[in-house]
Parts: sequence; structure tokens; C-alpha cells
Amino acid sequence: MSVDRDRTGIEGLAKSRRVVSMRLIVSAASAALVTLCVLGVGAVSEKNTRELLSSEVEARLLLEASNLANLSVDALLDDFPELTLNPVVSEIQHERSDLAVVTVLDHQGAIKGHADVRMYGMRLALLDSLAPVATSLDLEEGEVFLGNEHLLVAAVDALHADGQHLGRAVVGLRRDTFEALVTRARQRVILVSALLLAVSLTVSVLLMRQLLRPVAALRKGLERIGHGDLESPMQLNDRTELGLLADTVDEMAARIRESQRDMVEKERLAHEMDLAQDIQLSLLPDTYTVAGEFVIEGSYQAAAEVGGDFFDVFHLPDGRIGCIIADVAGKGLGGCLVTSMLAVLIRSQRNRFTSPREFLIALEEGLVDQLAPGVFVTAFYGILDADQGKLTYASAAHSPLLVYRAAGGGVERFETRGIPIGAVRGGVLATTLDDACIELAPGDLALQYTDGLNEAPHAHTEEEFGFERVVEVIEQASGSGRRVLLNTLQEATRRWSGELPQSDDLTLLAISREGAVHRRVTDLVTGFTCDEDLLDNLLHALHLKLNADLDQLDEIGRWMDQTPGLKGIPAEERALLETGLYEICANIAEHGYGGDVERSLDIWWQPDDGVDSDTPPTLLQGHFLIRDRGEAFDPADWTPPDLSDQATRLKGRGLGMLVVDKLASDKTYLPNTAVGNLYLVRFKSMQDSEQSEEIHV
Amino acid sequence: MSSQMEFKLVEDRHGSPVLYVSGRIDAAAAQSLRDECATQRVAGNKRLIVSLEKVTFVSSSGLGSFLVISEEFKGVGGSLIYAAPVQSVRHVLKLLNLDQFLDLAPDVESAQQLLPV
Repeated sequence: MSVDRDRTGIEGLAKSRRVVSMRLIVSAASAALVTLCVLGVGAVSEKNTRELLSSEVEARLLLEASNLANLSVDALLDDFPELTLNPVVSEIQHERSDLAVVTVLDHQGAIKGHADVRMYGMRLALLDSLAPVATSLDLEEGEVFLGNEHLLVAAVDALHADGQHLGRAVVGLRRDTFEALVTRARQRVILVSALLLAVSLTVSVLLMRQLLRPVAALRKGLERIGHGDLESPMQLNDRTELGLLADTVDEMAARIRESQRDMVEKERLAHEMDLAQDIQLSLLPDTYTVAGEFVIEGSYQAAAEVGGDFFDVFHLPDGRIGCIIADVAGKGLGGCLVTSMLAVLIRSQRNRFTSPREFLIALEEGLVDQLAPGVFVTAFYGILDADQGKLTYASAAHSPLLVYRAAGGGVERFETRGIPIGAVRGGVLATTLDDACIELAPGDLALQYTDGLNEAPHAHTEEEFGFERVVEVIEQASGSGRRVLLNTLQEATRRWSGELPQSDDLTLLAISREGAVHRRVTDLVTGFTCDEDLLDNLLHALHLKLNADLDQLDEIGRWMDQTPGLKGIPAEERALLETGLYEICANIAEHGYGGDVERSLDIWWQPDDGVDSDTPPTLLQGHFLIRDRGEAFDPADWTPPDLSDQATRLKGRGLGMLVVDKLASDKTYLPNTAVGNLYLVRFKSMQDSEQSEEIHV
Repeated sequence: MSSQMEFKLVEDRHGSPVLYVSGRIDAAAAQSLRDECATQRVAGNKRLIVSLEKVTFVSSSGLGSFLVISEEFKGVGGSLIYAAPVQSVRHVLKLLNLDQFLDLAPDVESAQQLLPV
């Protein structure tokens, strides 16, 4: 729906915009330019015309006057010049109707030649009303131009050959005659200009129409692309820039079409990868398995969307637990397919074999025909007898088994000589496999993993994470249980590889004998539904109740000094014990109760059976039960702070849990029971922890 | 009831100043210790010895403040030595591997030798 609305909005936008035609703009501009041009040229040309005409008219007027003056010389010497001059003047007047004045004066200014005989003998009054005017002509002596707003008059003296002044010829022209000439010239200019304007407009309109014809096609093409049609090219046969633009748009559409195809293909692949990932994840156990005192838990992080790692934990018909971890050489869909085949094969065959070696051989027999040359699988299969605390296993070239020993705090490494499944065909695998068996004591933890762990590359140097670092992490984190170990290993490799994309699948499988304490406490509190159960039946004699107030936690020390079994222990041990208890209570006050000092928490001290509480102990023989009713906190989700990081040191936080982790030998957390959150903890003596430290170092 | 920690700063003409701390370093005291050391640092005492001889209890906040104070001194090119921690404190420092990041001395005298003026 939103797409439709958007599209409507976009189209509306295009339609609501007012379009001004380029043709109109160009035609109007060209018309204006031509008009300006014509007006400019017209004005200049009129000025020139006027000057030329004016000079021409003056010349002709002067010539007329000169001729008349010359003609009049002889006549003026006569006694009656009028007789000679009258016909001459009349003829001139007749021939030149544009002349307003044609007359001859004698040396006294009396009219001697005029078309009108009544004027003879009179003075030419007109001359008095005229003033000299400027002229472009070079006038000789006796020549003069006079005029007013209506007339232009040339007067030339008639001189005798000896220089005697006989009279004057006066010829005048009406100025409107001159103006009529100018007007005629202007009209011609206007006519030509109008013609030019019309021609230029027509030409520009036609030209624009022709040039802009591809724009419509271009627009239609772009609209088609806009509506998603990338298949029909415009193919505009135009040799101007618009044709070039159309070609570019066609190219662009073709590229979009290709990238769309790529995108669709990628989406299809991604969808298939998602499906494959779902299938692969569905093959893996989604929770931990508890068997007696053992907890078995795995974790899996794929490098690509799907990978070639696999693990499974299952109950066998004889009550034992099967644990398998495998790594197919190859990631992506290929690896995933082999993994899926392997998973199906394992499920169909697992109940038939009691020997890990036999089972791995059966897997090869079932798988080898389907494996492409060069594709092989490394696998570890262990069968855990939880009652006996024994793990029997065989390994087809899988990573060495690493076992954390709670007793010494060290890590043992168990190698085997098996070759990978499918690497060498023809039954060679059977000759390299053996069943081996190890015992796991309470607190011990066996770790299996794929090479994504020890071969994780460093962010900058590409150095592999390596077994030494894996062992280091196991030594530090195993005491806190398998969940903390799995979290810490993942975190450690993540930090090691930094921003590098994960190069290989990382699969971890921990077999941890950590349930001993868990079961004891569960047995202890099973059936308790109220505080009275705790107080009456369990540990009421050695109980401390205190407010969850950091300022009051020194009560713990005073309580210890009065409590049988705790009072009298050496000062240094007492200090460590108080530190451990203080940190647990501070954690509850700060996080469980969020700083609410009105809430309370309880501590009970439970000496071990057979410990005489009246004699001062040298070692701590018993455990503490701490109860709160705040928000539950799962210590298994906790990861130790990385103190090698300066930023972490500068914060100086997160050490409380680390203190508890290091000081406690056994700890179990039971959140949200009927009587609150219960935390059962047993502390190491200083001697114990120093011994384990020595082994660590 | 809260902080039962006390300080005493002793200036030594022949050596670095020594901050004698006594009592319990709980959460509140940890902050006071940080403040006191920050004051010394800002006042120009870039070399400081913190005597923990009379400290009977250090909480995780106290341990955290040891780290922060030490890093802050290093940050200004100074140095700070924690001298004479009692056995339980020493033990916890070692258990948590904090001894890798803190400068420790068994007593004030050897701290003075490590930290010439």
C-alpha cells in the first residue's frame, strides 16, 4: 500500500508542476532579440538617413539659389529686371512645388523676381524672421543659410564679374517636405524589420520544434523506466546531445536491469542460505543435557551463513550419553549438505554401536560414497558413562581433547592417531582408530572444539589463537562452569580476531562434571516452600540477616567472629572469607535490589558433616548459603573482565564477581526458588588457592 | 558505620611522599582513596607511595580503585607504588593477577628505593 501511495505522490508531483515550453522561451527570446536589433539598426539608420538627406537638401537648395543668383546677374543690371526674372522664378516655382520661396532681391533688398507680381518692389519681410542655421556644407562668401521651424532658406548674393553686389537670390524649402522624406525612409525600415521579425520567429519555432522533438520520446522513455520497464530501450535516432543523453539513459537502464537480476539472484541465494541455516541449526541441540553430575553443552557460530561444523548430544539405549562433534572440510551450502547427510546418518546409526570406534567406522561406510574427492570429515565421538564418570571416545583426526582437572587446576591434552573420515578410502580408517577412556572427577571439564577455535587469526598479525591460549582460557574459566568457559572462549577469539570476519565455524562442546554441588543443594532445598523450612530444618543456628546496605556489610565480619566453626580461623583466612562473602552480598545489594537498602538478605553457615564446630578449624570445612529476594542474576552469563585492556583497568569495575570466582571452590546458584534466590558457595583455603595458583603459573 | 578508613600523608624530604592508609577499603572508602590520590597527583606529587600495611580489608571496589589510581598516575608520566599489603590483600591481588598491573613493594623502604625522587 505504501508503495502505491508513494507512486501516486510522485506522479502527482510531476503533473502538478507548471511546464513552460522551451519553444515559447526560445521563440520569445529570439523575437525580442531581433526586435531590439531592428530597433537599434533602425534608429541608427534613421539618424544617418536624416543627416544624409539634410546635407543633400541643403546642397540642392544652395545650388538652386546659386543658379538663380547667376541667372539674375544680367537681369539685375537691366532697368526692369522683373521682366526677365518673373518667367524664370515662375518656372522654377512651377517645376519645384516643394519650394516655398523663390525670389530675387536687388542690392537694396527690394523684390525683383517673384512668381507673384504684386510683390515687386516690396521688401522680403520673411528674411527678418529667419535666423542663421548651421550647415555641414562649406559656404562661400555671400552664401548663407537661414531658417525657422517651418522653413529652410538658402540666400546667395548675385555678384557682378567685378565683384559689385547686385542683389540676392533667395530659395526656401518647407521643412515638412524634408520630414516627409525622412518618414518615408523610416516606413521602409519598419517594413523590412517586420518582415525580418516574422521570418526569424518562424525559423526559430520550426527549429526548436525540430530540435526538441526527441524530448518527448526521452520523457516517455524515462517514465517507462520509472514504472519499472527496463526492457524497452529508447533507441533515439538523434545526433544532438539529446541523442547522447538517450543513449546514456538506455545504458543506465541496462545496468539497472543487470544489477536487479543480480540482486534478485542474491536474494534468492540468501533465502536459500537462510533455509539451509534453519535446517542446520535445527540439527543442533538447542539446550544442554544433564546426566547425573554431568552437564553437556555445546555452542556453534557459523563463519558463512551456513557451515560445515556439527555437534550432537543424545541419550543411548544403555543409559549412557553420546557426544559427537564433526568438521566437514568445506563451508557454505556444500559443507552444509554433507553436514545434513552426516546428521541423518548419525541419527539412524547411533543406537547400534556401543564402541565410538565402531560408530566412526560405520559413519565412514555410510558417507564415503557421497563425499566428493578431496572432501573429508574430522569427527570426535565420545560416550559418557555418567554413573562411572568415564568418557570413552575415538577421534578421526579431530582436535585433541582438552580436559580441565579441578584437583590441580591444570589442563590435560589427549591426542589420537585417527585419520579423517573419507580422506583415504578402502577401510584404512579402521586401522587408525582406537577407543580410549578417561575418568572425569567432580569439577573436571572435557572440552572438544573445531579448528575455528585454535586457528582463529589475529586481527592484525594473522597469528593463530593457538592451543596455548585455549589452554590458558580453560584454566582460568573452567572453575566457573561450562557456560562461563564457552562464553569466555567465544569472547577471547572474538577479541583476538577483532574486526576480521569470522574465517571458520566455531563449535565448542563441553562435558562438565559440575552438577555434584548442584544436585546436593537441589536435594537440600527440595520441598522447602517457606522460610520456616529453611530456618527450622536447615541452618538456623548459624544465621545472619542483614540489610542490603553497602555501609552495613561489615556486619559480616562481626558475625563471623561469633559463629562457631568460623570464629578462630586464622586472620588471613578470615579476611579472605569476609572478602568473598562481602562481594556476594554487595552484588546482591547493588544489582539484585538495585540499591534499595531496606531490603534484606540472609547468610547461613553450614559446616560439613562430622566437623566439630567447637574446635577452631584450620581449613574452611563447610559452605555458605546466601538468600535474597531481589532480581535473579545468573553467574553463568558472566564473563571475566579483560584486565589486559587499559580501558577496563581505568574503569576499575567488574572485579567483584572475579573475586568470588577466584576465592570460591564450589558455587551453585538457584534463582527464583520458592524461598528466593539461593547461592550456595564453598571457599578455598588460602593454601588451596595458592597451590592452584602455583600450578597455573 | 560506613567508611572506617583513615589517611595520613607523610612528606619525606629524602624520598617520595607516603600516604598511610588504615582500616577497611570498602566501596565508599575506595572513592575517598581515589579522591585523595587524585588530589596528590594534581598537587604535583607525581610519585607517591601508598602504604597498605594497616589495611585489613579490601573490597573489589578497593581493588578497582587501586587499578584506576595506578593507571591515572601512569597517564601523567608518574608512578605510584602500593607498599606493604597484608597477606590476605597480597593473596587476592595475586589471585586476580592484579600484581601484573600494579607496582607493589614489600615495605615502604623498598618502595622508596624503587621510587627515587
